[in-house]
Amino acid sequence: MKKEILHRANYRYVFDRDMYVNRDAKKAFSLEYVQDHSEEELLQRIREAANGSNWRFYFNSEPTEGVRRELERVLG
Amino acid sequence: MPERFVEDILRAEYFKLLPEIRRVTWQLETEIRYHTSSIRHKLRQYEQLLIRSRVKDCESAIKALQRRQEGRVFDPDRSYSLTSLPDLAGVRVLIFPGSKLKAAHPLLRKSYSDWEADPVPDGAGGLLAHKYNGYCHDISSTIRAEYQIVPMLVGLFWEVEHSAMYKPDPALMGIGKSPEMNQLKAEVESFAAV
Repeated sequence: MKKEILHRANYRYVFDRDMYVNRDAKKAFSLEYVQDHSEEELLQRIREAANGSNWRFYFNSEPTEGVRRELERVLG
Repeated sequence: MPERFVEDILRAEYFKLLPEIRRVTWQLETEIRYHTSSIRHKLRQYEQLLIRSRVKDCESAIKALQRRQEGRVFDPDRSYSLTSLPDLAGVRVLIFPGSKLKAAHPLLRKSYSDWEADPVPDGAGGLLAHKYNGYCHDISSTIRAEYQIVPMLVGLFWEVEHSAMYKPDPALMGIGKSPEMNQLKAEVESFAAV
């Protein structure tokens, strides 16, 4: 069900990062975050506005600046 | 000096650790052969107990550590060590028929009573295989080793699956996580566990 919610919102699963990513919205959810949060919470996060030109990452542990840089580099 | 990536630092660490990983693997394999000899000597003609060991290769070790990070990326500002992995050295005991597991498990558990259990569930509330990790204290207090006791059919399936799924052809990338593959895997494991 969570997968369907993400799929309908145009999030695609990136296998080598284990993340659901929407490149247009510049938002990404880690697999751990999706597993540990409810469908309602997921829907709320999907509805949240994008962060301008910056990526918004939904992780269980807030990604450090270094991790953000790496992810932004690989996700483009 | 040019910037070194986390992966490069881990590769250097791996080759520094490699002789010790090999020693731990040999030690654990030898000990397990000794501890299970009473079972092996009494096997009937159709019964089998195989012991296989492996040293985790460098790239697998780095990828395993990477898979433990959320987002599967290393933080370039943090330091990592491959010694945090529980299975740089590994021994797998394959047993047929699966009912023989009941004899091997307590024998090894007694010898490695302080090792940490990490059982492999079968998806139906049961147990597919026993898995333990810890240190061979006489040899190393740095390298964690793992031993598994597995029904032979499950173990042989894992060997095939591992080469197909974890080190796949680019065309098969991601197939191991598809719902269809998970379903097939569960069917094979439930059959083999019987």
